[in-house]
Amino acid sequence: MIQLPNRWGEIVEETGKLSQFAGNFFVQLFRPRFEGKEFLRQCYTIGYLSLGLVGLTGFIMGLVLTLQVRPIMLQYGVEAKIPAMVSLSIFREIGPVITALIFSGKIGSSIGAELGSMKVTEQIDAMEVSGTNPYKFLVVTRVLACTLMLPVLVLLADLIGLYGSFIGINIHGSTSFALFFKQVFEAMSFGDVLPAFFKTFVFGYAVGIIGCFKGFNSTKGTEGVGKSANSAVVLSALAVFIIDLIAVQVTDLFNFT
Amino acid sequence: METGITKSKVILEIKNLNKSFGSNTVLKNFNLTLHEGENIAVLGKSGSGKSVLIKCIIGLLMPEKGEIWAFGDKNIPSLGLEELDIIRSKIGFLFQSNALYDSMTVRQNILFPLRRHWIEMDKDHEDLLVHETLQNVGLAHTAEMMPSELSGGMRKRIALARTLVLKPKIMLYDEPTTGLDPITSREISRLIVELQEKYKTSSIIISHDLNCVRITSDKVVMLIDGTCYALDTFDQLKQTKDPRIREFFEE
Amino acid sequence: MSRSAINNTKLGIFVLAGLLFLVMTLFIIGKNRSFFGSYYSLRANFKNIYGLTRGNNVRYSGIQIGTVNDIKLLSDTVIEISFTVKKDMAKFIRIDDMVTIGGEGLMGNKVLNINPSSGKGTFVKDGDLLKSKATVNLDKMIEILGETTNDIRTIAGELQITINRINNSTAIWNLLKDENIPANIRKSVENVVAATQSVQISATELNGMVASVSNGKGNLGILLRDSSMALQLNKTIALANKTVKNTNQIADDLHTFISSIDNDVRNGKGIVNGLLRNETMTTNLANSLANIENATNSLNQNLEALKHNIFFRGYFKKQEKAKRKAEQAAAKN
Repeated sequence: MIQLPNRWGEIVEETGKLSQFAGNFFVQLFRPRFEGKEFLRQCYTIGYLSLGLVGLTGFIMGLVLTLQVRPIMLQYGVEAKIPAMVSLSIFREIGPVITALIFSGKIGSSIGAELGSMKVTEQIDAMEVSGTNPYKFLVVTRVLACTLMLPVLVLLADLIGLYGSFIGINIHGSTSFALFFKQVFEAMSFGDVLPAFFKTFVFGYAVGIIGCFKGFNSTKGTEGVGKSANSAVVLSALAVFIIDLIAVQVTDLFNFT
Repeated sequence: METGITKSKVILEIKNLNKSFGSNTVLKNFNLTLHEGENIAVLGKSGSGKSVLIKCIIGLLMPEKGEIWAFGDKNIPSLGLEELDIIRSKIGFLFQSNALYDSMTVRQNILFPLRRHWIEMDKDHEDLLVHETLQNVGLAHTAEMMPSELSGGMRKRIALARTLVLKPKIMLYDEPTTGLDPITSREISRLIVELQEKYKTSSIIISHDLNCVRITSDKVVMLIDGTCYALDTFDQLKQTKDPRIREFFEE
Repeated sequence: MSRSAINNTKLGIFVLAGLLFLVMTLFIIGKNRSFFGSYYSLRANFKNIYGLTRGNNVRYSGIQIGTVNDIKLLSDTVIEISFTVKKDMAKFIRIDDMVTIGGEGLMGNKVLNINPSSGKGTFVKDGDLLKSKATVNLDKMIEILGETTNDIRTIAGELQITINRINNSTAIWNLLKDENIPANIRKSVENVVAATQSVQISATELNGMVASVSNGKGNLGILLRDSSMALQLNKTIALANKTVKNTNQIADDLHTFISSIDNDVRNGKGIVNGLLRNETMTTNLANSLANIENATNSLNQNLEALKHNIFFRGYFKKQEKAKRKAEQAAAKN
């Protein structure tokens, strides 16, 4: 079951709480005592351990996109433009968004569930009593790790996706790696790479903060943990799309090419 | 039994404590005085606000009204984070669900309270401390294990060891025997008494396990309707005719 | 502790791999987009830039040497294009080289071409303004070609009438009386020559376009390479060339014809004498005119097909079918 606030007031209240929670990240981030070790541990779990899943998705993404686009491109006789088209779609949109969605599914839910169960089993309280700020120790490290690791994951997913596309082209036709490589990068400009790269930081931050928020505000019992994991995924996936929409509009507004 | 109210000094004093959640009043003008070396059990029904009481003491919850004077001169609800942290290091809190950190080894769990930035310790010292603390609860061999590998009783002991690592003056136990079988419960209760003597702590024990209360406490507080309904020794209360107290002691 | 060290190594490799790819991507794009290395900034002014945009390629004799940097509207008729070229390429570009806007095929990206001039102008410096030449696009070219062929046909028709009049014996006497005729003929010839020139220009440009299309440049190039569109274009150009040839010949013939008449008249031999002497020439002329008439007709037909059916292959087939049907119908009757 997806837990949706059933009244406008609750939505507004939830939004307010979330905003405060999200803003607190920046306050706590710059307070002394940086939890370096825990941060690295989170980077490892959130980043490195997600690479397999994200890489596989990226590969399939590139391969399938190429195979799907091929007949249409062939019809117009612009088969030679497949690398350009696929690489642009991967870099600009599909890479960041699909990776962020997979990421929200894997990491958003695990953070939601982990912090949720920590909340339920009073581990968060215990931490506070033990003189460690749980927000710093749990939230800041995780959100920061998400914010910094998702862009890396997206970049690698893009790269693997391009490789998938290369294989996809070679299934029906044949192209040399050098030619494919050249066609890919000839088609791209900074405007295709940089805004897409920057938005992945925001994606990562959103997934992290929503996962933590849902976990931190988990209600009692195992059901509460399940709910917070679930709503963390739903909300962060939604947030990814909304941020994407805003990012595209902003990029458009500044005419960044 | 050494009550010695006149001799030993007051270590914790709760005055007119009020706490409510929404329209639900949990504590109403609650008063309690804890002397040095004294062990008080708080008996009450589920949802009567026992846990709320000790969470207010440790500063996890903020009461609406009232004062909590710890060590004579610190009113906990009015403290800033820095001062509160110093007070907290002198008060141990055993959580009902143990609250062991799942992602850490037993050793890391035990050492976690030492993360306070004003505690510096070298590795040899840490090893010694972990060993000594674990030995006190009879689990010296578990240091490198994960909490999930341990049984319920062992987890409770580790949690107890963790709260004791900073050698607190006051111990707060939140239903220490809940969810354990009667034999393990008795073991834990005995361990609590043993550690009380060893570490010379004063304690407040929240429980509805009469055996535990009987073993661990010098005095018992009946928490009914958010107030301190009665305060007496366990045996005294057991013989009372008051029906509201009697229902706790009936088998 | 040792486990944590391995984790950190893996994490480090993971992060470095991502960053390396980012840096590489940015660097390659930067290299492609002339962001790194030393570059010269040059300018050229145009009246119409046909959709050229920032980032389009700059080519020198077909070699990629830079990108379009900025497009500014100086006034309602002048658009200034700034573009960067690699410094080491700048030593080949002369100040009087011609800049044109072209396309990578019919529908591909626009390209800024720098065409080397044979001249010995000085080499460019940073910030120099190069000469530019307006580009004629395909639609316009076909339009001009159509107009020209129409003109040629009209002139050819008029000429034929004149020749017929000359051939007619009674007309010779009229001709003798009319001193204006040689002048008229001369004017017609001049017209033909002018028309021929414009046809020739269009034909050359079309030729170039077809060549680039055949080379498969740009998106549409591939589409067109083997399609009937290209065939049609080739056919059109062949016809245009033929027409040009014919008209050239006629113009030459006419020229000699008129000068010989002039000569005879001046030498007091009279127009009739000259006309009679040049009987063979008159026949030739009539033949040529008939040829030109035919050629322009089919050229016009082809142009129509191109104009309206640029992507339809079946135009001529349809026409042939209609013809056959008409023949069949005629046979039945």
